Amino acid sequence: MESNELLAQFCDNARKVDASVTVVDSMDQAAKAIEDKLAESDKIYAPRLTAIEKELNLPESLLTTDYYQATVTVEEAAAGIAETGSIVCWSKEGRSLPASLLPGRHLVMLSRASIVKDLDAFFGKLGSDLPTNITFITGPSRTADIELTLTTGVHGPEFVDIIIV
Amino acid sequence: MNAREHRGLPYSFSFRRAAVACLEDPQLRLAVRKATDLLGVKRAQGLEPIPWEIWREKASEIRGYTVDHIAELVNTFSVNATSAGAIVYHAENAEDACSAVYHILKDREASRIVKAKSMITEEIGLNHYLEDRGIQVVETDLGEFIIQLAGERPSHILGPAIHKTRAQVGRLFEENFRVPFSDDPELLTRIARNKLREVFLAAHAGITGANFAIADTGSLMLFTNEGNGRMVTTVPPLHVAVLSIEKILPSISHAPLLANLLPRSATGQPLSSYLSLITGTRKRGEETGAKELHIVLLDNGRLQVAAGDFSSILKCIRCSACLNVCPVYATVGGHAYGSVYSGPMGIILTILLNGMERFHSVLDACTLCGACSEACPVKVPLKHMISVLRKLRRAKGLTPLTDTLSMTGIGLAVGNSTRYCVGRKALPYLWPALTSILKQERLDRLPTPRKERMLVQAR
Repeated sequence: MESNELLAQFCDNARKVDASVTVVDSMDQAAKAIEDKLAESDKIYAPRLTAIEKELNLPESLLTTDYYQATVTVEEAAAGIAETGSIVCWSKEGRSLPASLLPGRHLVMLSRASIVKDLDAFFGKLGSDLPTNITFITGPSRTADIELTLTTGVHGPEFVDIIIV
Repeated sequence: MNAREHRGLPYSFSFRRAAVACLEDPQLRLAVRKATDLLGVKRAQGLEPIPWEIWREKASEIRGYTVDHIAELVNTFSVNATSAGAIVYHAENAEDACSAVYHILKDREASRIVKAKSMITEEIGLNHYLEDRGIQVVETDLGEFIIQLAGERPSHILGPAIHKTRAQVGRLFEENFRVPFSDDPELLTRIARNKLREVFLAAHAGITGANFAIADTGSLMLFTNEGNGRMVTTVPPLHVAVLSIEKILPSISHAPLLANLLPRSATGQPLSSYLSLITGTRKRGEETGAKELHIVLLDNGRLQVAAGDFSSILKCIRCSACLNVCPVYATVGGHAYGSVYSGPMGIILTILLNGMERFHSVLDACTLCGACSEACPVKVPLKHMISVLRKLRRAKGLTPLTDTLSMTGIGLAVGNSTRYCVGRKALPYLWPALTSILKQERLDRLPTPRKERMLVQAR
């Protein structure tokens, strides 16, 4: 499948599961897209493990190293799954998975090149050396346990914002 | 051969009695009907874009392989999970499994326990076992949390608390947490989030089940929507997973297909909000993962089922699609089945695991319409199995005498055209006598048979 088609399919399906998706052309635009989602009162946890994460310019005054206290986590996802609109986070490179779970907002950078067609394609490339935790995130945390009323942000983030570069 | 024999047993479950109790609860009926209708529609939407028949055929083969090679896969999984850093236990029955979990927790002085929803721990009564020994367990799935506060039992695999109204949940929270009353689901969810967040952060250990275990990598797969499963497995330093042996998939290459089918069959979602693949304990250089992972593999009768005529029930992946399409389940709800497992798959599993003698009456919870077999993503022949179990029930002399007699009567009458014509003519005259003899069977609920001449005139 063409990369443009994969991108379109990913955006479509991620929006269907209530994630917001923004496609940008440069890191400057990415920084602006992130800023649009932030509030003055936010505390941001942003690991700097990948090239994209290191390149990101985030407002220093809002940064924290403690994701237990953070209201937003900004990080890069390992992959995107077009068919389900999911992003993949894993424990490689010393990444913390609770960091994408505890704060109310998860801001995810996704490189266009890491979007794959479906789960089969992702698992096919995985290899045998598995990290301790691979988590597929498909939209915000949700429940319908009270009278089947759909409510987001139960234990995990209420907002999942994906920025594709 | 008659009904007297099973009445002599210490406990014999009566589906009819349990169903009446559920039918007399209009709130429960409405909630269950709403849930099954909604999930039915969602499931249909979820299956639309996929090659359903091809996928379920493949999934059925994979699950069938597991059932045929179960002992071998338990070994492979155990070896690979151990080399990934987990400690694996083999429990033969509920007592063994509960005791293993209890000792893991006790030896590490873990007293604050958080738990993610799991059918298997319900099956073995783990919470009661631990509470009797002074260990408090907090259920963290919102529905389970509500049920635990109310001291009740889950009414649906997916939505354990669907039978509670928002106002009832509001009052429960008001009483337990001293918060102002509210019946707004969003606000109530936020209250639960805050309450449980404190509990997560203070927890010594997390207990989960697993949707699947993967033999060739020793991994566990967990699907959740709320994120509590992720909390329980990544925040506390100790993770105990309890799962029954048939949950194993032979290879990680089978994971995508099953991951594609399970959430779609359950709620119509292409994937649940979260799917975690957990392989062993935290490795060097990692910031995620429990420091200790203990996996309790439970048999509790499965090996025996796997060797018998009903082994294909072990293919079941607990998606609840068969519950949501079942006309009986939609009417009576999960409480009527007298067991952790309800709906069509529950009928079969309950009898195989707990014994025909005590639970045969749950076989009445079926109209043999076959909707369940059509809905099953792993092609368990549910309808066929229920019908075979009914034959077995009759052979064991457990079918109530009145059922046997009336069915024999109908069989005789429709088996031959002369007998049918005579019977058809005689029935209106015999009807008053029949209804009074079979008072208990409530024949009067059926339309009174009309005399044949009138029938002709009516046409």
